[in-house]
Amino acid sequence: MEPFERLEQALAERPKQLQQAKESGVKMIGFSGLGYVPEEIIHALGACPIRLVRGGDPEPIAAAAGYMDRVLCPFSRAQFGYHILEEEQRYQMLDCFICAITCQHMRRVADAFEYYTDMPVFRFGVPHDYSSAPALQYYYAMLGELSSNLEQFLGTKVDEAKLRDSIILYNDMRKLLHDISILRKNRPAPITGKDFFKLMHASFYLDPRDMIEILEQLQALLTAETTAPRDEGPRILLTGNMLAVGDYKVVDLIEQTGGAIVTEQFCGGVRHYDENVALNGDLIRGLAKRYLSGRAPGAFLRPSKQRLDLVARLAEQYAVDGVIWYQLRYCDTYNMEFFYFNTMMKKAGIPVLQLESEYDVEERGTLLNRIEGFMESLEGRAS
Amino acid sequence: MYSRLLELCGFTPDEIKQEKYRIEKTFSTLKMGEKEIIAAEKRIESLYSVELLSVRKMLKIWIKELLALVMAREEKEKIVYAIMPSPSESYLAAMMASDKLYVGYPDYVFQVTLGALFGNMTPLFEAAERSGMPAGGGHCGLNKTRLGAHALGIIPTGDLGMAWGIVCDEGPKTDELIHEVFGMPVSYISRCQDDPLDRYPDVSERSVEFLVGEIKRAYAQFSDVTGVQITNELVMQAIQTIFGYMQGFGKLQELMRNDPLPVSQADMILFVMVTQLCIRDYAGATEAVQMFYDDVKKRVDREEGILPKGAPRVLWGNHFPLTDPGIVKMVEEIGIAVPFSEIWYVTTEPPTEICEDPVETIARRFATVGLLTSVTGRIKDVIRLFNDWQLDGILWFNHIPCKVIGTDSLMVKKALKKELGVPITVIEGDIYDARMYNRQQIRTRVESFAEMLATHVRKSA
Repeated sequence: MEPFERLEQALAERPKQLQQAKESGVKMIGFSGLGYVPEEIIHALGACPIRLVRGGDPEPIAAAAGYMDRVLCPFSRAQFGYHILEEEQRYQMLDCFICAITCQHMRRVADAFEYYTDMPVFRFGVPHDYSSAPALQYYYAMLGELSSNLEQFLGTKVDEAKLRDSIILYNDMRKLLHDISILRKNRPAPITGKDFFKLMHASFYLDPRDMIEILEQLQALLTAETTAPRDEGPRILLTGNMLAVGDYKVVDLIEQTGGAIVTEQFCGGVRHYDENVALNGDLIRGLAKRYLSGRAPGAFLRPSKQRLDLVARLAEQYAVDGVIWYQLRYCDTYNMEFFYFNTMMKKAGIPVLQLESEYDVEERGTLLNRIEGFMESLEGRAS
Repeated sequence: MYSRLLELCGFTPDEIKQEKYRIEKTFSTLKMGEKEIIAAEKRIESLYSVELLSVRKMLKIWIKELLALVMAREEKEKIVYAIMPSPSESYLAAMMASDKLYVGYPDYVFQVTLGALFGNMTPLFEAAERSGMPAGGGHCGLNKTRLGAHALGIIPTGDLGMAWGIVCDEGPKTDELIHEVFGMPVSYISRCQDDPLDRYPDVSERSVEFLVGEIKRAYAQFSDVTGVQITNELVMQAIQTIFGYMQGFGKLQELMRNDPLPVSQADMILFVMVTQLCIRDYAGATEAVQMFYDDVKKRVDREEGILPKGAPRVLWGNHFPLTDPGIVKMVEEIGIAVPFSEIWYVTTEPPTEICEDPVETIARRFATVGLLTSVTGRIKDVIRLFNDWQLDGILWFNHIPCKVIGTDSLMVKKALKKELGVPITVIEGDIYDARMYNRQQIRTRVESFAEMLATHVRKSA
């Protein structure tokens, strides 16, 4: 079976698998989607980590309207919206919710779950000066508290050997995603942007062992394939704050208008695969380093210029023709950051298009017009 | 050209003469020509009780803050800007340590002077909207003020920005933007908000310790840049100075319990704003607040008020619109008495715990303000205030661009409806940017609310 067929099959079977696991006593631990909660700890405790990272749909936004104020970003509103809609298994089967407080929007998600539901909520502080020693120490202490809270909740202990195994598993998955990703430096990229996002999104949901098998098969296939160099559409770097599972509107429009998404940088909704957890020494410290300071900082951390420099480097390494900055409405920090990012890109001679979404179906026409115009301008530059 | 305006603001002819250079330089920088000055005179006369010397004294203190801000590069060796919310004691301590420093909150100074007094903020907002905080992005008018002032070049670029991100994300991000575009070095102060809602008013010790460390690190950075040490002794002295003013203000605030309501909130705003930031003339402000207390007390004794006795009294959720005191005056004209606003009340309450280390006192005070840290804490505080002041309803002016205080209105309203069962109206706007709401629409909403209040008061009677 082809890897993507296997992926579809695994995704189709996953709800039943999760239901059976839950019925057999496995606890379902939900955690917020910006990736500051190490799922390795949950996995090592024998529970099932469920990353809450669905988005892109208007219905949950409407459902949340009576509960969460409208100037919160649509992703944050959607997280509570999916829960109260009762149409998404992964939002219904949770035994508790761990919410990393990355920004005020996510703080309100924690508030909503804690205030309106009976679900146990564990708030997880993310220090904003991510690169300082006290911040790392704080985060390290939070991981300790998370572990002991989960131990209490699950009635089991974090075993060092099991934690090491879980870290190795997730390290392997990240390494495979990394290896597949860098194949996109080739012309043409051997995998579409949409397919790559699907892989990353599936990696939040499937059993990591199943995911690794699929990724290994895909990597082998893509590496063995020899495609003669040929023209492809404009090569695009897609970046922004959050590309949620299901939020494919912009991705589809870019590809429909001839663009090839060859790399991406998002703070949430994608798996960060460039950094792994060190296995020497204190494993919890290794997790703290990787999750807090080892990754490019989101705009809610400060200062976050390091991430913009990374985006500029990626643009160069992947030889992109243009950058599309996709942000969610009311995400104040990303909206402001765009101003100087745009200046940086102008200096580097790379065209940039800024797009915004509130998960509204009516946006499609406007987005299409703007993306088409951008693609035409990129093609014009190339010819 | 500007003499009458300044006389309205309590300046004597001699003071105007003495300050001529600074005034003209400031007004020229701010592009305050004849038209703007005449408009400002009319506005001040219509909004404030300028017949009272106490009010004029306070107006003068604010104008002097404006002069000090715009002239800072010419008059001081180093400039340090702070943002809200943050502990103003730290900055007063710095000012006490050296007269070679300008330390202040530029956005608040512009909000009170260029905004509330002169009604001339639009150029700043528009400049900010061209410089990284686009219209429609849900950005806060206060942060736009600071960015717009830099973009227009009406304030000097600071030698250090102290970006307090202990609750707000956009404030420090604005300073980061100012750093990237205008080159101001920035020191960031953070705090993690990971306490469960029901822990309020307690707070995790780890979180307090972290914040204490952050504040001390920022003090060290401040010292590196300015050569001035913010010592514990100075901080303690600053706390006492501010507390002295707060005591005077607290007495004044208590007079607002009287029926009829003795004075308009438009006047009160001038005095309460001093409690929110650090100014250069606390002695003058303390004298002014005492004088104003005496003026208001006389009204109370004579049973005079701005509204008839028995007018319904409401709690004003969030802040009053700062650049637009005309909004609260309009509510008063409709017949609703507003004795205080939620934020000013809870932030002017004395610290609950005085620690040996003054920095810890500051950290604990910030970590335990309900409206900043816990929605259930905020609800408890509002209920406590509502019952203590024996009010009739709640007018919640939701400062929607603020992700800290403007994004819990649905939870708060549901809880207050359930707990108190009184009329509540929620009005959306930006308390720092009068362009973000329509005055006539607000009038219509408030008139309907007044009808509800009247029915409710009748039923209760």
